[in-house]
Amino acid sequence: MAGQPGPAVSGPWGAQAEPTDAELLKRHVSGDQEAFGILFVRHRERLWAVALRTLGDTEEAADALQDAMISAFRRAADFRGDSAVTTWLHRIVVNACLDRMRRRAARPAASGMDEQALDALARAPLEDHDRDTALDVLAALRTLVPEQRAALVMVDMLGYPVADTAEILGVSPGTVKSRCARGRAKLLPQLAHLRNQPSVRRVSPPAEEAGEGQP
Amino acid sequence: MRGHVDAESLALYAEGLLSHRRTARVRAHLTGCPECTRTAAALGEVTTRLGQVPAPPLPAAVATRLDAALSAESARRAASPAPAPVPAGAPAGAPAGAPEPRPPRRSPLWSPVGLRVLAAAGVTLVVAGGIGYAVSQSGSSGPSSTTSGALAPSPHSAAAPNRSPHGPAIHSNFGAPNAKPGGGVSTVHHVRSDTDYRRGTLAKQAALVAAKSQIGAVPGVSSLPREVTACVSRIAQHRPVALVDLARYEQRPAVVILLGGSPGKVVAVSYSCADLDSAPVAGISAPGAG
Repeated sequence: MAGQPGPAVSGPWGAQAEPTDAELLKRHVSGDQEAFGILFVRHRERLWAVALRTLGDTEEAADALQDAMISAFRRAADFRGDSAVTTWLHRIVVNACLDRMRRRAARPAASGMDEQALDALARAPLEDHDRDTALDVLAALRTLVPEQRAALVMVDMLGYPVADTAEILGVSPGTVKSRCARGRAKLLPQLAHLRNQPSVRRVSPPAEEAGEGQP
Repeated sequence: MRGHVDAESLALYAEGLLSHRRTARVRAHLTGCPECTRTAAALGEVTTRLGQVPAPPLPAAVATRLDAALSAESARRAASPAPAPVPAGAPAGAPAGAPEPRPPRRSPLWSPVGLRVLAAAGVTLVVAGGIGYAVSQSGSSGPSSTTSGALAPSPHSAAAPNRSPHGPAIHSNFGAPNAKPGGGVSTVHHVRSDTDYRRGTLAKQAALVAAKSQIGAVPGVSSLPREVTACVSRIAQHRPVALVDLARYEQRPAVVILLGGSPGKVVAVSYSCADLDSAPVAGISAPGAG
């Protein structure tokens, strides 16, 4: 990966193929002023999703992502290419999130709603019950311990493969599976009331669930 | 096996994490127990539910803040003769455990940039983390104007080409004081957030839009349609208007008006000024209560 010959970008941007992540990182280390910005912008949407869903709080997620970004900026020279750059970036972000969660574990849980969720949900073309479902899911996630939550967010919520998640979290795939399994078991009673409701479907005939007897 | 299998064991079973012996026992139990079979299915549904929550896009405000922090960091590195200080033996990707020194000018996400504008309208809108906020009559400690530089202007703004050197793309999102005189709605946030306000969440959604509009994360509206101006005046009476959002309510076009005062209030009306919904705004606090 690190040895992969990236395109030699010397001319104007458009004329060349996109530089690889590793290439950008290398250029950043050698003093390029813009390389890191390009690299980070490339991945920050996904990193944001991980941070926000793991922390459940916009302000904290923004803090964590910023800390992680600066940390990556400064530590870039330490990247040795034994993992993908994206894995390395994710690891720094997830660790920043876990640190925050552990630090705040001592404090009473903040009860604010996930405003990003609220915002996204307010815009999403969802039925009311789907909106409620999503909010219930996010609220339930908050009850998990940090390690379970990070694993479950990555695997079940954001769809990262177990192997990638393991590498990012720095644990074995078995540990990731175990954390996910225990997390699901813990969420189960909290989401049990959703069982008789239809799951999210963008275009769903409402008649199907007519017989539901939800208390 | 006596009794039922607990959910955790079922979840571990589904992942193939139980010992051979326990796996065999759970499997045998499941064949004869509809209840545990249902629980096992419900565990699968937890995964489904988690996967259905829409992924959150990076808010413009956060993107702006990251760009600013990165610019500041780049400038810092460019200015320092030696390479950035990196802990020598730190393994790549080591836990960001000991957070590094923070970038010099870290602005809070909901920086009170622009609050001065609201203060001019006699309203202080204080965003206090998350969705809670307070609206109160201003009169004492307004937000410090020193925060207006918090976006760390930097020559290295390649990642944010639209950002002006002094940061105040934000100000363009505020209704200018030259809005209709006498309408009572000058120097107010006029925005078009595209929010679909809903019954029951009106106050929370309005709080969110208000918070975002403070930092320029919501498209501004330079002037309100005349009938809206008249309507806002009628709704506001003598109360300070903090925000006017040309949006939707329950999927129909609507104007959402956030009023200051004690207590604060949010009102949704149709474009013909018919009342659709209103709600008190939580978190009213005295000025300076922070």
